[in-house]
Amino acid sequence: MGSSITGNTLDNTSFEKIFKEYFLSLSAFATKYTKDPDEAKDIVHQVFTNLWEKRENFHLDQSVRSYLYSAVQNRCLNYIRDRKKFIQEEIPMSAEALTSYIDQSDFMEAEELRNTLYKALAELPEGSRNIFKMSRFEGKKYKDIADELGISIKTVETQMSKALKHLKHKLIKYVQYISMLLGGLYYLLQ
Amino acid sequence: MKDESKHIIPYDLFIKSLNDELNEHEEITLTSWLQANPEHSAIYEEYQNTWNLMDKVKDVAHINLEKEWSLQKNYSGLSSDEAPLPETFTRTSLTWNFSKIAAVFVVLILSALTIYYIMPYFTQEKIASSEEIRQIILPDGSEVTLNRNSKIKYPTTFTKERSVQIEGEAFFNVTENTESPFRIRTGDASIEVLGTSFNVSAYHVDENVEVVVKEGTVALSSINNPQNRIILEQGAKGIYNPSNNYLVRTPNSDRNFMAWKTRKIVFDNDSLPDVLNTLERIYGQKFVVGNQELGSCTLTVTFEDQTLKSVLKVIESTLFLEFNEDNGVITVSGEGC
Repeated sequence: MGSSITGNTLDNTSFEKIFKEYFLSLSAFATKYTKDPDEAKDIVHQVFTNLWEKRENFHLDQSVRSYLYSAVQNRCLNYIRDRKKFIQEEIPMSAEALTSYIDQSDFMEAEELRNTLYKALAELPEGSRNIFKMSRFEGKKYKDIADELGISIKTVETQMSKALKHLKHKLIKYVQYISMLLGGLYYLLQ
Repeated sequence: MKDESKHIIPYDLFIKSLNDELNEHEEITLTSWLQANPEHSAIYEEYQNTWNLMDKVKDVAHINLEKEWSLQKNYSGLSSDEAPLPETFTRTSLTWNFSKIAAVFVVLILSALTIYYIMPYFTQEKIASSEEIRQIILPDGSEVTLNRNSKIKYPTTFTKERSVQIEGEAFFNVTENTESPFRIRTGDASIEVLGTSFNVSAYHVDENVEVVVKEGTVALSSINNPQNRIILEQGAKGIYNPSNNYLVRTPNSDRNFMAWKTRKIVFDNDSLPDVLNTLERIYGQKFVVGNQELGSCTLTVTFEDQTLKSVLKVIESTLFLEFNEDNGVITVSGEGC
């Protein structure tokens, strides 16, 4: 899939398109290394800045995806080396593993899927989005959310089911695709 | 999609279960609900998959993509007047109907993959915006004059239908082509034309959309309710109110509706408040009238290609007024007429 760019040049429009297609996924990828989402975003911005500066030398027939992921990975490794922050931790992925990782077919859809999920979440009304994030991403209990926001537990529940209904509705094709894959595996195993 | 309307669905138990917050009693209730009907577990599974899927955006949910893009434009020294348009201008994606799921698993996977491959379907598009008045020629030869602080989005090539989106104010001179309707979308309003020239003003999504027709015929309708439309002919003005979806047609009483483009302003026995309103709209300058008596002053004069400063000078000496600027606002004082 990837970016279909006409010609070999990276112009304003294709740059924006590539940025918006990959920024979220690259940030998530970099966060695996940095453990710090803000540092991760900075690194991704540096990679895009560099890409734009060197756009003259950059041939778009080469895979934009693998270029971006390798560049982000390199900067992340440098970041870890410089900070010696996570030196005791295992490095998430070797260069060879990365290559096969980004070529995997399920990974091919990662940006697409992530962008769709992100958009579905962003479409929620602010109140119910916040509650959903606190519950799903921060693992907070309903009681804690209710206390923190000064609302009733009932309201938290209502907003949560509203959010989940909206998300399911927006993501129905992915949701059913997953069921289909699981169902298919089950069928094959029998 | 499972038809959920046929079932009573315990959403509260769903989310508690997904969140590990079920008590013993609720757990029993949910289990017996799931066993009551074979479709129930399929419905629950869809919510469970949704919940699990969202884990993929855990690390990025805090990111504001538009904000990051404007940061990136700063880092890369890209001009900020090419700012992306707000939410309402998101690209169209295709919607899918999975209801006809066939029996063969492999075929399903193949078709699913195909769908993923054609999903990122974007039309190549251009966005023009400017702080200055600007002339744009669309791919079909139609001319658009874009007012200050306005934006237009259009494809690099038109397909069957000529469709553009604007925000702000623009004057369109549309090339006639009866085969291919020309459509302008702004907020919730849709304007359709066959070949004509007219002025559209729609600065904010929640503000009224105004269309004034110079020549030809234009249809103005609400996107939410396309049946509800008004036809505007030469000299007519159409107003769409997005808050209540009302469409109103009135004769155009503003002879200066195109002054921002033609740079020609005609006042003919107009009251001073009307004059100041017109100047405010054309030059973006705010006025405050110090003395209510000034409301009785009227003005008859034509300005062509004048700066605001020289316009004000003429008014000052004609009506014996004084204009004083303070903090971006001009106060008008004088004895009255």
